[in-house]
Amino acid sequence: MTGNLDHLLDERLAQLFTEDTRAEEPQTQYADDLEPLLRLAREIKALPRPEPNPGALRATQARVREAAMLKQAERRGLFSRLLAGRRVSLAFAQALAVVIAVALIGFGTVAASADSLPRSPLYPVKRTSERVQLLLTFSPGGKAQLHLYFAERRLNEAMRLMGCCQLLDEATLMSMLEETDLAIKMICALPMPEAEPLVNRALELTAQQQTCLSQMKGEVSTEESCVLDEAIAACRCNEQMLIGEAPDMHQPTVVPE
Amino acid sequence: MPQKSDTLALVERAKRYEPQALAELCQLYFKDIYSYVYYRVSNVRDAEDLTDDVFLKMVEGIRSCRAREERSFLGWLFRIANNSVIDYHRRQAVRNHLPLDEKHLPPYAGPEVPVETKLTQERLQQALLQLTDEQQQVIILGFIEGLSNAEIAHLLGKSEGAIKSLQHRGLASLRHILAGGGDPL
Repeated sequence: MTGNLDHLLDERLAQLFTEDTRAEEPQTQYADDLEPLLRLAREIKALPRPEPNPGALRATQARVREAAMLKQAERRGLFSRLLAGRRVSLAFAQALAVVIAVALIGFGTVAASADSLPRSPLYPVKRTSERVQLLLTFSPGGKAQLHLYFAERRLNEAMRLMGCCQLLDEATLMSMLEETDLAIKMICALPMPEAEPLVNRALELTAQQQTCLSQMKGEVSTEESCVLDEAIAACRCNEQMLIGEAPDMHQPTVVPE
Repeated sequence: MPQKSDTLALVERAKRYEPQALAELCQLYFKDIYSYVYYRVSNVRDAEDLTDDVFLKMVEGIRSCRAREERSFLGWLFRIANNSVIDYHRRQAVRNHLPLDEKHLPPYAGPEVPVETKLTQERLQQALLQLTDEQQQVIILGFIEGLSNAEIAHLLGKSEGAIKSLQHRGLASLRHILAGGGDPL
């Protein structure tokens, strides 16, 4: 089919659809090719549009209504789930906020209690957090380190009480000695390569304890001085015990009288 | 009785899955879709089933319909119908064993139509079924359903030039088939 014939067919078909009577006129040059196609197009256009069965329409409408109601129910279900999800999220967020608040308050309190001294309101928090730290530490070496650290803390507390309040707190000294005893017992139970750095640290601590307690003697009464002497003796005993663990490493500390 | 001019308002309501709006859209376009499907499958029962399927798919997809005018909504429905017909022919290709009495029933032509005309129409309808899928779409949508070339082009995702070309080749093939030439050109 030539380009001209295509063009003419387009033109005639367009006229056919606009009910233009010129579509009926034969085209002289391409009449033989064009006329049968146009006649065919008219025949197709004249084909009757089939009438659907009214029952089929009603059945489809019924199914469409049913599908629409299902969709509505689905959407309601979706909204309910979304709302329920939001409620759960809200409850979860509230619970999380409470936990975070408690945790923050707890952390804040524990942090604030770190510098507290015996008889202050936050001191029990400090001691409790120490117990928790011990509970959460499972290795004997780690526990020994913690006891050494707590013993050092008690010594610092005793010195600060003496410095700020001229107070010798026997309970704090007792606690220092207890922590030191516990640390030494654990260190002695450890195998030597692992125990060595802890023995060194414990020796430094006992030496420091003897030095600090001796310094405190100049600021207390005679009666309190006896308490300090007993504490210094206990520290020296601990030191001896540690030297027994590492005899070739250290000599006993000479405490100035 | 709903009017086609109300289509866009109905579509908006249908997007909220209002059963009445969807049923009215069904009533407005049932005949158009049924007619198109009928000429594509030439079987009353299958045409009814497929038309039913088209309107159920309309419910499924109505929220994604972006029609801004009545004709584009009709085009959207024809696209669903076209896909349903393609699926139908695929299924038929797999199980091609329909009972003979259900195949190729003639369309309703009214009591006043002469027998000769009916026979001609039946021959034409049978010939249409022998065209390629795309030629059938273009001829039926353009000549029977009255869609413009631009509308068909939009519906099928082709250029207007391609639609015209398909029309010409379709008519030439029909002529060849009706002249006893057998297979389409």
